[in-house]
Amino acid sequence: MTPSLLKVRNLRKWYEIRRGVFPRVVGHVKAVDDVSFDLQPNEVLGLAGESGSGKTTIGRSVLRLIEASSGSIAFKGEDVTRLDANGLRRFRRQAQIVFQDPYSSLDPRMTVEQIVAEPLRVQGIAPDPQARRRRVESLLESVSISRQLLMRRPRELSGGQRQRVGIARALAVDPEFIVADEPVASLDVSIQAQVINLLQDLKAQFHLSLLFISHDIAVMRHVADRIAVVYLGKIMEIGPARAICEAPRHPYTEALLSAVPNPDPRQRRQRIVLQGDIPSPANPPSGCVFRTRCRYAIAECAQTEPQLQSTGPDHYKACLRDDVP
Amino acid sequence: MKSPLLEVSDLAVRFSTRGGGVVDAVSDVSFDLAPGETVALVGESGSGKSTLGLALMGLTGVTRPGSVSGAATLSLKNGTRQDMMKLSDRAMQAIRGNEVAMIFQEPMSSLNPVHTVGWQICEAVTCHQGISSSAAAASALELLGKLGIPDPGRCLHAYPHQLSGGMRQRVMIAIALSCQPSLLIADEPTTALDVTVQAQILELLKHVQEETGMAILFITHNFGVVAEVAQRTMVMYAGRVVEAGPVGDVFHAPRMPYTRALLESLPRLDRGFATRLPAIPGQVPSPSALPPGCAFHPRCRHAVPGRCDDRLPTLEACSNDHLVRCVRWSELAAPGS
Repeated sequence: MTPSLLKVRNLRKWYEIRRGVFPRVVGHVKAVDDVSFDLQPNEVLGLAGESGSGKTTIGRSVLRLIEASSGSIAFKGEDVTRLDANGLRRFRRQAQIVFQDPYSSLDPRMTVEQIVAEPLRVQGIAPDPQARRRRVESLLESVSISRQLLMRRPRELSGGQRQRVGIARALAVDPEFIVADEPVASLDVSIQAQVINLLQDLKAQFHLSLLFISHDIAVMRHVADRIAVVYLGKIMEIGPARAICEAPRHPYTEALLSAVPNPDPRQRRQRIVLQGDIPSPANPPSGCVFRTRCRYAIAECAQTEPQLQSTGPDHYKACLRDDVP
Repeated sequence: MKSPLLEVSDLAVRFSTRGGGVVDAVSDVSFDLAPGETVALVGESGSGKSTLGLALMGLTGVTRPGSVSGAATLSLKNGTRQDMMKLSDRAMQAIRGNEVAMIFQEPMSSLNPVHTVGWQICEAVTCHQGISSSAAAASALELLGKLGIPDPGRCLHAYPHQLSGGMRQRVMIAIALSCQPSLLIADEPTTALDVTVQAQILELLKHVQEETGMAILFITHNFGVVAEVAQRTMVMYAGRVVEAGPVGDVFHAPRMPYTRALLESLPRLDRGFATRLPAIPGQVPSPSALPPGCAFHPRCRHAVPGRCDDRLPTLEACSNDHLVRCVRWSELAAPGS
């Protein structure tokens, strides 16, 4: 087996809640709590979950855009959490991010060329202006953006074009690993498919590994090799994309899949409607965090916190009950 | 056949731009809506679906002066029929909220942050029904209970920021339902919500509809949601209805190449794995620079030069109740046949 590209162990991001005239820490918002996973070279791992599940925090912590509270993040064997400024710059030559909102993640005063060239400038790649321009042009070509748009500014581009520019910027330093944080969520339906296909092509062409964050499990199913389902900062289930979508083993995954509306009026599935909202991460339920909305919950679920355990080839779930779903 | 609750004919909305140009946001839209029926208006951003909803509410003049033409005749609670497009602003106020109500996409920005939820529900009721504030508060409490809000008494005294997205959307629905409207216009009511909460809200709307028999015009970009809630659907592209019909017909035998391509490009849970999605090339045209002829022809793989770019196709019936706007629909075989 090839060594993992990324090894995340017991990642935790707790935000302190301070109160009082002389602020004291009175509690923690447990945005990410004890998350571990591996990412193989040229693999796409999907992080699926609802808003507030901590999936974006995981993605940003891995790149150290947010400092993790504890845990280790090993990228090619090197612990990212201990890198100094120089080490971080070297790390980010190999690890990049594509943000969700292509409207706020591009500087409105820069041209497309400047936006895509910025990582090259920061990393000292292709210092010669002509070489740099050639490189920018070839990057834009690989995301199907015409050279005529080189001097345009973000406001002159459509949402789909902006997202492509964001992807070209991430590709500029020729990274091995990209965190794609909801890259198609803000795009129109007819543009979503274009960007999903583009990401699949780029994965093959540039031999990329992706951490693909999305709330839309139907989108993820087309992109991801493996899927991790996150709820209240914890991984509920992780396994091959096909197994997760066709034979989910965790009650939350089952409910999440059944909630996706199916555009086929003939297929009326039995829908599991979860009651209530996701609880506050400042005060998560005891035991299993999902038990308050779980239709299979038993008394023991409130006492014991379930650990991830094997339920099939490369497939793990954190649930006390083996008999469901 | 029952007489329709709402009859819309040749509705068009035109905005003037600062440069002196005009933008036809909605053109030539006609449909009707029966009591208890749900019609889904589906399209991408810029297709004019929200503008159409706002025009029906008489709200197009709020942000930009838009000129609305055409007719939208509604059966009122008192039994008369009224063309809403001919009403003065003042007369429209009596209808808005009372006969026709609307819920919006973002529940946070449509609720007033400085008033309690109870105040906002009571406002609509006291305004339209002239009942005392204590009676209004009692009916608000009952309504919140019906909508499945846990601890409705506490919710009445909460401010919008204290509620989750799903709860806020329930409050919006409560405000919309407070005067028992006969028509509800729901503009992307679940788009800002998580899928599990979306499922809750869709169930809730269906349940409320069964109980009250109101008609719903459901505006969405999500074909999955259309299949869940609606009996009939209208697909809009660049301000025009390009296909309309019963949901089953439009989904299983779409005749307009745009509808077909859009349905094929959807990521779905019941399709093959790791397959390439058949994407639609290009992008949605800007409503201020529409291509000549059929607005979809530059992206359409069935487009024929000289025919599709020449004149605007009319909306033709390809079978009972199934309308399509494409000059080539009869030449293009129905999918699956």
